[in-house]
Amino acid sequence: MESADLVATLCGGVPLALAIAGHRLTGPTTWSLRHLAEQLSDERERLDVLATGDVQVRTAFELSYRLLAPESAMLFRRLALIHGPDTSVALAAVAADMPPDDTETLLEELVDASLLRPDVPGRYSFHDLIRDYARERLHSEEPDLEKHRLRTRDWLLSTAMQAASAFLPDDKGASDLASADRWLSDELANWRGAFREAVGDGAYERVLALARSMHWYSDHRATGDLWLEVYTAGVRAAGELGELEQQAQQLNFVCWVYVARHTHIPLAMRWHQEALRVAEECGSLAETAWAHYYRSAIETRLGDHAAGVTHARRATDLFREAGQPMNVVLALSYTGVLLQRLGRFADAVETHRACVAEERALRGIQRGVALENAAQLLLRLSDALVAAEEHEEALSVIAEAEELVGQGAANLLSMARHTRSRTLLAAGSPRRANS
Amino acid sequence: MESLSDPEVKVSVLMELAGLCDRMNDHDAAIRHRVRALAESERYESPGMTRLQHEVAEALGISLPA
Repeated sequence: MESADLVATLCGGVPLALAIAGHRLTGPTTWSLRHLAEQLSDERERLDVLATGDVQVRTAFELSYRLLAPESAMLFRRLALIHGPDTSVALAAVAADMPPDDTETLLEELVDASLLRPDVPGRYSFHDLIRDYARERLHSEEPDLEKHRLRTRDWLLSTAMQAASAFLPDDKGASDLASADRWLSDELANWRGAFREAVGDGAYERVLALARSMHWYSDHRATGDLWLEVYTAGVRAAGELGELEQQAQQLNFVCWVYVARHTHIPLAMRWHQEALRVAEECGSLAETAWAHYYRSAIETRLGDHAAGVTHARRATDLFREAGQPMNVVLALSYTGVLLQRLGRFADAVETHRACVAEERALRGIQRGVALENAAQLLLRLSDALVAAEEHEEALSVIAEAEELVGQGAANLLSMARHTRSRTLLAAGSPRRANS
Repeated sequence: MESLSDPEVKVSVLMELAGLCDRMNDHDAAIRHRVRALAESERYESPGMTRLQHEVAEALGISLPA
């Protein structure tokens, strides 16, 4: 961004702030645009920079702040404990240490005083300069600042962990992922800020707990950069705590980020090797299995499906030895996918059949992610059956998948119909495929 | 099925499928779903679609013009 644009952005389009910034550029002690932009970029200095003679942006905010009732003023300054651009009522209530109903009333008072903006229903945001001012008040007027900071930090971390647990691929997962998904997305900047605080505080147990909790959610949302930050911090936290098995797990997750999100295979391989080394060193069967599972994806990306099969089979065996049947199912299914890519259709069918049989034996309460996984395993089997020209069986497997789709795996509806159409076409029934 | 005629729902579903493929180690398929989601999203303009478009672009590691 050009310096002039940056200055305008940092002034947030506030006329008084822009006028003072303009004075800095043209007044007796002339600053360059670049210097002004640098000075404004430091949020601790911004309000001092936006002052000239008797005219200060701070004074304008102070007039509003001093008119607030004590409880509103307390809420206003404690909102500066929140890192993201906006907040829900629930989070504001935690930061303020007030009941949510009272907090909502006070938030509306702050909106009336033009100190907050109601962005979307139920969420409130600061203007950047007002946040700077709130932060100043927080630091100068809150005697128990650390207590409030830790309460807000820990609530965000524990709520994020609880929401992430909805995505577990077993009966511990939730049937309705939407509310957990929404919370994690809406509060992303806030829980990420709390996570960074925990990293800065050296709160390694909390850092590791959050990083571990994000395993299954990270498949669903957000960017590689976020997950790289979370899992590399997890690696360090596990190292500081001397938890080798958990360190291997976090190393595996970093490897996953490079395979699945950044598609940087040389780095994926480097982290994989470290994960495998630590997993073997501490004798963790499960983490050694995960290392081979991710290695199979690396080999596939490198175009070596045969090596992919070798690692996926090794992962299957190790998951079995570790007593993790659901992960056996995942590794078996991926083995089947790779066998099919190798053109070994009969082997692929056999492997997918074994996989589906194991999953059926495990099937308990199916909902959410577990239900989607089960439907996907069936669709993979039907794909392999079509490749092996076993169309009738493929259609009956698709019917079973469609039943699961009807039970809640609605995301797979279009995929199931697409698979059915392809199967009917392959079976020589174009009319049925069109219907 | 009716709901899939809503383009935002369609893009969301493709992104969910991408996540499902990631979860099951098939990252190539995940990329294919995300590319389809991005292509689909580019045909429509709405605040919700813009948000989804940025989300899928970020997941693909692509920068969209502001």
